Amino acid sequence: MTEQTAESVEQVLRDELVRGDAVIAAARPILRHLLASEDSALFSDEMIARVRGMVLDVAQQLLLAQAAAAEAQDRSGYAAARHEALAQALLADTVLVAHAHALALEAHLAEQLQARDGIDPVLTPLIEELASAPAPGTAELAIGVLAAQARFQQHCRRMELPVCELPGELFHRALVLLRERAGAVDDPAAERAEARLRAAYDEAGGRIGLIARLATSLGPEFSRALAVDRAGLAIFATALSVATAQERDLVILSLAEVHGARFALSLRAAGLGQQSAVEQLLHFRPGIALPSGFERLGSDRAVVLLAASAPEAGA
Amino acid sequence: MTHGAPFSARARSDARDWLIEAEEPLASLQLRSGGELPGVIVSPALLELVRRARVYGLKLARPIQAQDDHEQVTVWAEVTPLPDGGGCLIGLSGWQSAPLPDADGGEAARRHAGIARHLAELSARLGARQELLSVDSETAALAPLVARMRAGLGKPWTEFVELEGSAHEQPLHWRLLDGARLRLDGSSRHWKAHLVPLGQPEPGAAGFELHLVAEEPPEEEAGTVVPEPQRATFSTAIGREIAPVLRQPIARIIANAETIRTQLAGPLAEEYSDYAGDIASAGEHLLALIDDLADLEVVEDEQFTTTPDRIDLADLARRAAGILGVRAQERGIAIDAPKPGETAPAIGEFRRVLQVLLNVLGNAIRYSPHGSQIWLRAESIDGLARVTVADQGEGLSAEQQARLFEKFERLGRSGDGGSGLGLYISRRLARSMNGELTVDSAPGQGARFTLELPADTAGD
Repeated sequence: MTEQTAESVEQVLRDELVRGDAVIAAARPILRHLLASEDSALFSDEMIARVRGMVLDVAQQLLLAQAAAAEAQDRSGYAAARHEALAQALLADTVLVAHAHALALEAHLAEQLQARDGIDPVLTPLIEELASAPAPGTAELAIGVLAAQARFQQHCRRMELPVCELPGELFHRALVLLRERAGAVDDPAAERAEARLRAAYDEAGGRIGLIARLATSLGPEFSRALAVDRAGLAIFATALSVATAQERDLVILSLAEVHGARFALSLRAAGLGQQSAVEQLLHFRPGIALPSGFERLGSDRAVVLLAASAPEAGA
Repeated sequence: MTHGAPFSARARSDARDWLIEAEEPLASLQLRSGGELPGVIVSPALLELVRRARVYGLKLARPIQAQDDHEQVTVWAEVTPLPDGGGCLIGLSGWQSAPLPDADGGEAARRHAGIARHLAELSARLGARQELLSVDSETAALAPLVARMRAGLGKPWTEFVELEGSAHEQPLHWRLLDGARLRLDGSSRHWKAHLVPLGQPEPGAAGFELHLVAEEPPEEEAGTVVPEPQRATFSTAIGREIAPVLRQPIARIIANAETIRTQLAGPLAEEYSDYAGDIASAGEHLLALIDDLADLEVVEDEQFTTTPDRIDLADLARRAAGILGVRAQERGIAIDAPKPGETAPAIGEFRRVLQVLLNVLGNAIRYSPHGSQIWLRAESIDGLARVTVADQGEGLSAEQQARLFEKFERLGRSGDGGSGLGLYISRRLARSMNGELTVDSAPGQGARFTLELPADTAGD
């Protein structure tokens, strides 16, 4: 028995050693990466801080909803007591963190485009035009997108991420983590809180949902959404993701990433010609030169190349 | 704010993610993509969205894309899970189908077609209704099949092959047949069909290329069916060379005459419209004659064999009655077919037996007086299965009965659309299936034609 126990202790230590060594091994490449990507927005200090702030905000909202369902007297006290555990769990969820990262990046890029090219993040020429369109459904939708964009910029400045804006999968993950980590298994109040949150959730009403519907409602004029100067960054990113069947978050990352190959290929895969593709690229990377022969790359090949190289954005 | 979309299509799924109700155009998309209704959701993107909404219990909404006949369909989908965990409500709006940004689907289809063309051991050109226009094969084992297909130009290609696991009405939509597995007469190998649609804007508007590709390499099956030298004696000049050439212009004459007769192109004096009717019926007679001559050539060939199969004469009699029911009704004749549930299991080739029954029953309808009755009886006796067609016509003398089954025998009749070949061919067919076609009649007593075939005793 003692021998077995000694063995199991060794096993535990061996496992921990492996994990610790992995952290040490990763530290150098991470450090090198952070130092090398100094001019990239992807990992700036500001970006890291914003991601953390948004995820903590999600934890706070979930706990306040639970406090309300538990009819706690001191709701912020109730939330504060559980905040650390839930926040840690949410921050450890790479998919959720990656989404927050993409949102922070989107807001950052939108501000950059506004400063550099005068592209308004909220009221773009396309939205303006659609908002005065004769079709009542379209006008209403365009105004909805406009309002959602205004809210989004405001939320990002405050490092907030409303849970109702999360995509369905992430909303579900967050609720599962809430149930597991907030000491609320078998707690009827927690169950009530979760049921309320689920019932109130409607993906179609979120910003990304509204934009996607507006973009798809363009029908034969869909390509108009593929011009960032006319459509604005938010609609442009959605349109590019729909046209190339890539995740929207991945598209946003590709817009900010230095090499720009995925972005260039996405433009091609979406059917943009050489001239239009270069125009769009220049908004994000002034002075970029496309590899020679890019114009001969067929859009079908671009789709194949994109599909063959899929970064695991969430893992 | 409100975001309730005016949905262009609503649908409902159940707990298995089957589509149980769907409005257009989702219903058509589901069926065109090879799915069923009710049946599991065919579009992978929609299936995934519905499954997630159901599992999470969340209202989800996303643009989804689905492939549909070389077109990319993009649609906004909102999925609301039903409270009892049963299924989901699906709302679709902003439906738009557009060709892909570039021909990325087209590229794949071109490669697919290129591979099929290289590997095919039997290739055919089909018309827009999947009817055979020409057939070619270099594989010796398929020569008899090719000969039969050439004799049957103008018929759907699916009549000449055995589709695996298909209980559908023929012919199917080409998308469902593209990639279908099948068996071919004379080959023990497994085959796959590849259809390449031709024409614009609707794929297949100008017909199809059909390529049959074997799943296994060729074996020694060349010698097992028809030895090569004998094949040369298999003369099918009419079926193979003359009939296809004649059919098309005659079909055109009939179609144009019908247009004139029905005054589709404008009003016309009645007698001219009647003349057009005569032209059309003469054309139809001519077509039937060509079919008979092609058949005659086939049944008279020494190589002619039928494919024994387990059939039910009662069922075949009911089918024949169904097919000719309208014509009988027009002449005020009632057909009394075997009751549903009656059976007479036999061994024979389904298509050929039906051909015999249609011929005999067709004759009975043609030569029976207005307002009379025709009986179809099927029975099994002493290892034989038999079906009898009895009419109330004027009957036949012994001398007429003796001549009845001879080639081109018209018993002095003319101008009624007969070729004098039908009964001759029918008897040859019956005999080739180890059966017999006989007649029993007396003047004024009507006629009884009896088709006998070996009974299928194994079935009991």
